[in-house]
Amino acid sequence: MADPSVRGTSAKREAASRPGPHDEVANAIELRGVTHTYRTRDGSTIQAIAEANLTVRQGEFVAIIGPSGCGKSTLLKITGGMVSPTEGVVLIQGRSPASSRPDFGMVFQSPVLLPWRTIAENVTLPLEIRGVRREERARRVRELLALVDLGGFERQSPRELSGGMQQRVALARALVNDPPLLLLDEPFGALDALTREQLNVELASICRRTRKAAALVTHSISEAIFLADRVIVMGPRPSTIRREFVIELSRPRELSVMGSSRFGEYMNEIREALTGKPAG
Amino acid sequence: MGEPTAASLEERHPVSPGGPGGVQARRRSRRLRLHHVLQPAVFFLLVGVWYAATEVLGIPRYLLPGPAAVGGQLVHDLTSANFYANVQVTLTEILAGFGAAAVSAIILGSLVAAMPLLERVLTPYIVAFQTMPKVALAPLAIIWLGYGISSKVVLAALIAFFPAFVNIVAGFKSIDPDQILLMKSLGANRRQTFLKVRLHAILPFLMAGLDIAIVFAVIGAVVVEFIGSAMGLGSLILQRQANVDVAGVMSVLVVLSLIGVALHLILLMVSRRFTSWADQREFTAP
Repeated sequence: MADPSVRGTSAKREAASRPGPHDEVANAIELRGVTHTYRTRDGSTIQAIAEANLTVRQGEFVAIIGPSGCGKSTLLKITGGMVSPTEGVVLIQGRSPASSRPDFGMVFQSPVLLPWRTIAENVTLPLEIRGVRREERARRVRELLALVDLGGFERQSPRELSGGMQQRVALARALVNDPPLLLLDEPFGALDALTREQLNVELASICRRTRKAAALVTHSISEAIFLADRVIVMGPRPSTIRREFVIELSRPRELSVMGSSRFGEYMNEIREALTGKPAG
Repeated sequence: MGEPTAASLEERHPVSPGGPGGVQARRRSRRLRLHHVLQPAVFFLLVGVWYAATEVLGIPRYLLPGPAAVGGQLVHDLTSANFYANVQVTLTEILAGFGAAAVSAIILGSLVAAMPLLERVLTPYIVAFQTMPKVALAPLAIIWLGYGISSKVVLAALIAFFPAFVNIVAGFKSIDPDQILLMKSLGANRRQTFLKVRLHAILPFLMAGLDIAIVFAVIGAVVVEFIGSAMGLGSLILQRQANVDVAGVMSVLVVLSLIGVALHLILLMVSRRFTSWADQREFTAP
């Protein structure tokens, strides 16, 4: 990542909660003093995010967990530049998200596939928007569909695929630009438990092999621990980042790691941090 | 990519070519075959009742001519150059009116959908104009535009405009906000978002609106011909009515219906080509 923006580095260092190991490389995500207040229809204002500071280093997998309505999804949309923060600074790869759009891939809770396009045409959408040439697009689509185990489904229509397969397509679409960062907004939340676990294993393997940084918003404590290097716990609205857990489980992680005692300890600690009382 | 578990294997092959899709297709074609038998059966039943009414019940021929008389008149009409001149006039009115309505509905519908302020300002006027029976404007159209083709085109366009317009606006409003969010996350500009998402998403609504509009355009053209014109199928109906030529009137009615059906089928074919993705029926039918 050749990034010429050295201007912000000193300011970044004092505000960042955890400066990266190599200061010349920008962090994948840097949120400083981000707040979000919105106005409801009856005119009252609601403060969704009181203050959030967050750094995700290159190649790091960070999970954000918190109670429903705590603004974690909003925080991810702010990170991706889809929602403007009321205050604060957002940097992706050291630049504002508006100017770095191709630098991240996003997966939403629902697959959001365009029903009038085939699977291949859905995966190719980000490349079309960037103006990548047709032959190059076809090559990338083949690679990506093979990566998510959907080779041979190029010409199918999205509605012919199961929910789990559709979400794989969404993942392929997020990866097709080969961005250094993935923003994942409860990507497997709507799937059944078995499919979800399977996709988590595949996601972990893809992020490891392709060295992606990722910010994952989730409701599931076990999913957060299984996938992340660091789990961020957010409090209820107006939310702040309450606690942070470094997950020191070796990689690659198998599903069996979920039965280990260390995993169980993380589960209890994070549940305590979430509910504010010891797990009983 | 991990070991293929039972779950992943199952989800990898939900629709094999000869699998559920094939069964669906077969069931569908069987249903279609039943339609093919029943549709002509209904036609022959109706003609039979009609024939019985004229032959058995003894309804006077000058009030209700039999199927054979109307058929004969239809054949006579369809082989007459003068009749085709009338068909051409009415068809021109319908198509010009429909075209004007479609183009203006697409433009205005897009503008209203893109600008909430414009919608708020125009809504009361649109509602007021929509509730007005447009055929009642026919006398004014004749006064202002004369007995020629233009008065028919304008009224056909006015009548056809609203169903198309309302559907297009509804189409824009039905767009999945997540799809717009996706385009935003991909850094798409407004033009790309319009061409790659909005345009496709409104097509089923647009085609449904145009399908209603084409039928309304036929009504508009014929009604203004009734009020005042020298040519066209509407004025031909009036001429034949003056001669108490019921078979002649019915022959024109058959031709008008055929025109309506043909235009509808053309639109249906265009629509199937572009909006098959929105046709969920074959997958949700019980």
